[in-house]
This record gives sequence, structure tokens and C-alpha cells, in this order.
Amino acid sequence: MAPTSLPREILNASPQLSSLLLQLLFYVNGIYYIFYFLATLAMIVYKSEVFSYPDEFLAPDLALLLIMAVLEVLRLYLGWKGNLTEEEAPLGLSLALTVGSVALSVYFLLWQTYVLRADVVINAVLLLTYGLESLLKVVAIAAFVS
Amino acid sequence: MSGPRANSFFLGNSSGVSFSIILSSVNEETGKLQLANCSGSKRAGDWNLTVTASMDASKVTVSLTRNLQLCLPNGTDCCTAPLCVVETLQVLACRDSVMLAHLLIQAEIYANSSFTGNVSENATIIPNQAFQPLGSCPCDLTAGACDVRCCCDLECTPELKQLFNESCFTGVFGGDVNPPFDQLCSSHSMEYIPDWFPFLCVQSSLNNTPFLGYFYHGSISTSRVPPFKIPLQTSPGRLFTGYRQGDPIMTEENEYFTIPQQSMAGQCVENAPVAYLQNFDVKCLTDRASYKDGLPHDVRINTGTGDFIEQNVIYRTVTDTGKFITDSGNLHAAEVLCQNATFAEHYMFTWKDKNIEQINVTVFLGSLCDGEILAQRFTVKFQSVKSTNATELFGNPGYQVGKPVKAANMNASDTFGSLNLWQPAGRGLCTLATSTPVLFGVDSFSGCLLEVGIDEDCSLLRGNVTERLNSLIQATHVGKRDNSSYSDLNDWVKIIRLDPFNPDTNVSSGNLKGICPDIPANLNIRIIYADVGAVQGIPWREILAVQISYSTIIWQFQCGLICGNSTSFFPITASVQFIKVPAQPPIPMTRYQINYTEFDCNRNDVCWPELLYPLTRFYTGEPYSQSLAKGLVLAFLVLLAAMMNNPWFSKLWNSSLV
Repeated sequence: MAPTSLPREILNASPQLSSLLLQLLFYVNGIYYIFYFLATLAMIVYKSEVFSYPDEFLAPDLALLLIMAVLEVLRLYLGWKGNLTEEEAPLGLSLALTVGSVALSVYFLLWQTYVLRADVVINAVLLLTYGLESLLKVVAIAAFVS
Repeated sequence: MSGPRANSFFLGNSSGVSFSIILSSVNEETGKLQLANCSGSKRAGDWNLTVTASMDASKVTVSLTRNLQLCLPNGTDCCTAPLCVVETLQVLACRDSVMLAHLLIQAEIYANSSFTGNVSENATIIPNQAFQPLGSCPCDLTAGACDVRCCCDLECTPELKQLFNESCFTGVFGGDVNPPFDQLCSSHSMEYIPDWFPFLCVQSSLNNTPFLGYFYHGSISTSRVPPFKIPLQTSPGRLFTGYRQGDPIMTEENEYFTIPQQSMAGQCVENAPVAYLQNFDVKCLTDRASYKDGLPHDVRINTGTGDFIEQNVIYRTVTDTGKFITDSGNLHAAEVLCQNATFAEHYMFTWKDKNIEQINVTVFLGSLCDGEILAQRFTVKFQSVKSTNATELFGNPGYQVGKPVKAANMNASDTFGSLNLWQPAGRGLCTLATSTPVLFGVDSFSGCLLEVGIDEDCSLLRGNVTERLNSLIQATHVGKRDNSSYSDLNDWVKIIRLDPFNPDTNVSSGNLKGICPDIPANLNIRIIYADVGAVQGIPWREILAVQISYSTIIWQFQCGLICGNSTSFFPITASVQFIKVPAQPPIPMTRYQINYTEFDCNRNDVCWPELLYPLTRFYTGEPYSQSLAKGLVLAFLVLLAAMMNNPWFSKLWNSSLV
């Protein structure tokens, strides 16, 4: 028996459970979210200049955007770590936080004070990404648990 | 015709004609109308026929005599349905059972839709205006009934709405409380659509505007019981420290001392206060019907120190009423109503320093009759205690705008001179014109018409015009200041005269009649003055130089097709112009400033200060706050780039990502 087969067996004994697609999606999500945050911030600033914004409507919009940013960073960190260490707890927490992110994204899509067409486009893309991610996370959790 | 009454006319002789009205029915199947015969009366059903006969025509009135109110639940004699009356009538005019005329009326009458009845005690529940605008249908004014022409009214049935569908109220009043604005993606009304419009147009629906509930949240405030007393007018505190020039003169009751004066618009105002040291002379027109007595002359005036003095009034009767009264010639009745009226009041205030010493009033009375127009004259003059003729300005020796320019004639024995302009009267002829003194700071232009015949000798004409113009300038020197004294020559500037070039008589205009060249028809007085200081905030103005010049024109006799021996009117004018010059010449530029153009933006192609525009304020193309914000963003980005390029930053980034 050649000694080189042993490492392969050792390697083949524990297959890789981390999902590559999920990792890719996390990476792309991170970059896209930076763009999304800056774009939404710029559009809120633009809207407050061009349209007449009653004062008490601007503060909630900005606050929710900041909360969404914090939530997103946390969610992506937990998901990244969970996928690479093949642990289901961080991944499960990340899935739970995804629900919050989806709710906030729906807010920016539908219930914002002024919804511009560009808002609709970037929120739709974000929701699509969240949907795909959630699916892959569930699959990954199933793989890790079993 | 609308409403329950219709009129018509029967033309022709109406003797022996009997009118009748018949209710007819239309056959449901065939739709044919049965023609009536002459057996009818003046009443049919609810309809009444009245005829007012006259010579050639009779007025025929058909009226409905029933109640047109919409039925209440237990009502009688009312309309059960909104469409109350649908009937066909025939009005016949018969003579001896022979039908002369026949009128067909088809009536379709709806019930009166105004609300009458009991007012319900229930209060309408007003929804929370944060979520529902209260005025969603502003034209819905009556509750429980349909408002005509209000298409958003929910109480209107569709049949009723169809009646006035074409003439609904438009705009906000008609219910369009939320008109779509230009930035909506669905609005196509904008002519100019910016390039980015497909991305940055507003997608949210119109129902969810941010103005829903954007209204003033008024907080409850405690109401104060209104005090039932009229506040007294507080007196200006400076009364007891004396009057300054321009202050209003106050009476004993702390009110303004008023004399009718001319306002800016030209008409006379009754209650105009008198300003200290400001003379005026006004004429106010009035007639008997609108004559009003002015302030009574027993009012006491505050002297400025807190004392009150009485006016010394002298009453006189007018001798020459022609100066005041013009007969408008309206009434020539034998007996006319006349009353005593004040024709003129001349006030002479004697002042010293900041106080009034004495007030002398001369009142001219006369009788004013109906049909006459009275020109009341009011003059106020402030006289110093020291001098009797000249009025001195307190403190400020310079000229004030509106004061006459002091002039002196050093060649004459009494050295008194004057600078005048014409004040034409009547038809504007020079022979009738009076003169008015030139006022400081008031650019004026006046003239008069000279009557000249066609065969006037040109040199004679020139001399005549020059003499007339020179009669305005009866002075050789003009005073630098308002208090220039006649004894001191340094207080006066010599008038620079540019006399017109008088051509010799051998240069004649030839045989041409009616044309005269080089007539000095326009006199130009240019007065140059400057601000040489200020006294108590009021600038001190002095006259620096005076120049008089003449402009010459070619005068041509104006005649029609045939030049007869008539006279033509020839205008000659005089104008005065006040030119302000800076008293101090501008500071001369140093040689460095002239040669070195590096930082001078006006003379250099590159404007260095503007390049550093976030740091300096030279660039004014944008608001400074915007340029500052842009500079800060640039600095932030540079900082960010520098930070990210640092190797320890990339180490930190990698370690955080496991």
C-alpha cells in the first residue's frame, strides 16, 4: 500500500460540508450591501433636499437604515464563520437575523416615505439575495446537523 | 325655462280669445299625442294659467302649484321620487271654438334638493386626521342632501350625478385634494424630463403622501380674559429734552399737532403732523359740501421743555377772493348757501435751540358758497429768535434736500441774488410764467412757450431768448453752505458761465424765412456738490461749483400746407442737475499694486485665490456651505484611501474574516 493513499483516505473520510456557493454568496452580499447602504443614504439625502419631508419622517428612515447596516454586518459575520467552521449555531442565528433584514428591506421597498424607482430596484435585488441565502443556509444547516 | 313657471306671448288681437290649458297624455305604444279641443279651463291638475292681456300681445304664464320638496318618511303633499313631475300640457287660444294658437309644453321637474327638516342632534365623528384628511370632498357642504355640481358627494345618486356630470367643480374644491405632483413616475405632465428621471421618480402611490397628518398639533392654551380698557398712547420720552430737527410737534394732550399737508400721492391729508424746522406751503382744494374745520386754535403746544404755550391767533378777512376761489359755475341759482370758511392759515413758529418760543397764527376767513372751489392755503415757517429773515438750520450748516439754493449777486448793491426756474401757469406761455427758486438736490426741468411770428428777425429772437433765460439767473455767486453769509466772499463760489456763441450779424441766414439757427433755447445749470462731513448723523453737503451753459437748436417755423402770417409756439427750457462728487479723491495705488498682477484676479488669467476654493471664500459660484461640504468629502475620501493602503489595515481586515 502506498503511503500516499492514506492521506487521501483521511481526506475522504471527512468530506467538506461547507457550502462553497453560500460562501460566494456571502462575499457578494457583503460588497453589494456596501453599495446598497451608500445608495440608500444618498437617495434619502436627495429626497430630503428635493421633496418636502416632514421632520418626523426623516429620522425613522435614517435610523432604520443604520439598524439594517448593523444587522447586516452581524448577520454576514455569523454566517461566514458558521459556514467555515461547519457549526450550525452561528448559521442558525444568522438565519434568524435574516428575517429581520428581510423585514427592513420590505420597509424600504414599500413603506418608506418616498419610494423612488431606484429604491425598488436595489431592494428587489437585495431581497432576491436574501432569499437565495436563506435557502442555502437551510441546506447547509441540514448538512451540518446530519 | 326652469322652475315651476313658464312665460310665453300670444301675438295679435286678444279680444274675444279664450285661453285654456289641458293636461294631455302621450300614448305609450305609439308615442302620439292627442290634440286637444277648445273645451278647457284655466286650471288643469296642478297647473295654473294666467293671462295678462294688452293691445297687441298677451303674456301667458303657466305655473305649477304643488310642493316640490322631497318626501320625508311621513310626509304628504311632497315628491316621492327625485323626478317629481313628468307631464305634457297644451295651452290653447280659441275664439268661438276655433283654435287660433296652440302651445305644447313638456315638463320634467325634479324635487328641490335643499335640506329642510329637523336638524339631527348626532355629531359627526371626525376621523383622526393623522390618517384621513378631513377635507376629502370640500364641496360636500350639506349633510343628508346632494350638493349640485359636486361630483365627489356620496349623497348624490348616480341619476342625479348624470344631470350635472359635465359641469363638476374642478380642482381641490371639487374633491381632487391630492393632485399628482410632477415627480411621480405615473405623471406625464412635465415638459422637461431630466435624464435621471426613470431612476429617481417617485414610485409610491399617491395615497401615501407624507403630508397625511402633516398639520399643526396645537396645544391647548389658557385663554386670557381680555382687558376692557383702551391702552393709553405712551408719549415719546424726548419731549422733555427738546425738539430736534424733524421731530413732530406735540400738543398738550400728547397728540401730534396737525395741519393739512400734501401727501406723496398729491392729495391733501387732514391729519399730517408738523415737523420741527420744516417749512411748507401747501394748497388744498375743497368745496362747501366737503369743507371741514381744522384743529381748533385754542390747542396748546408743547415747547419742548414741558411747558405749554398758546397760539397767538389773528383773524383777518380775505380781501382778494380771486386768489382762492374758482367758480366752477355749477349753480346759478338766486339763493346759494354760503358759510364761513378758513381760506388761509399762516403759522410762524419762533424757535430757539431746541424749543419753541412763540407761535403766531394769521387766519384769513371768508365766505364759501355752493358751486365754488376753494383752494385753502396753509403755510408754516420756522423763524429763529436771532434773525428775522433767514431761517437757520440748527447745527447743520450744509444744504438740506429741498431747501432753496442760496445765490448772491456781487455786482448789485444789495448782493441779493436768486437762481430760479420757471413755473408756468395757464397755457404755459413765457409771458405769464412765474419763477420758483432752485431747490437743492432736486433735479428739475421746466420750460415755457414763446410766441414767435414767422418773419421774426433771427438775431432779435436770439436776444429775446437769451434775455429770458438770463432773467432766471439773477446771481453771480452761489453759496457753498446754507449759512453762507453775504459779507464773507470765501463762502461763495463763482458761477461759471459758458455763454452761447453769438454769431455776427453778417452771417445771416440768407433769404430763408422761418428758420433760425443757433438759438440758445435750453439752459443747463449743473451744480456739483459733495458730502464733506456729518453733523449728528445728518450729512453736511456743500456746493463745490456751478456751471451754466446753453444748448443751441435750429428753430424752424411749424406751419401746415400754407405758411400764413400766424405765430408758432417755441419752447424754451431750463434744467438744473445736481452732481455728487466724492469729497476725497480715491487713494492712489502703489507701484507694487500696479505692476504685480500675480494675485489680481481682474488682470490675471489665472485667479489663484479661487483655486483654493474650499479653503478661501473667493469663489462665489456656489454657496460656501456646499463648497465646504464637497471639500470635506474629498478630504474624507483621501483619508480613507490612505488608511486602506496602510499594511496594518489589511492585516486587521484579514484577521477579522477568520
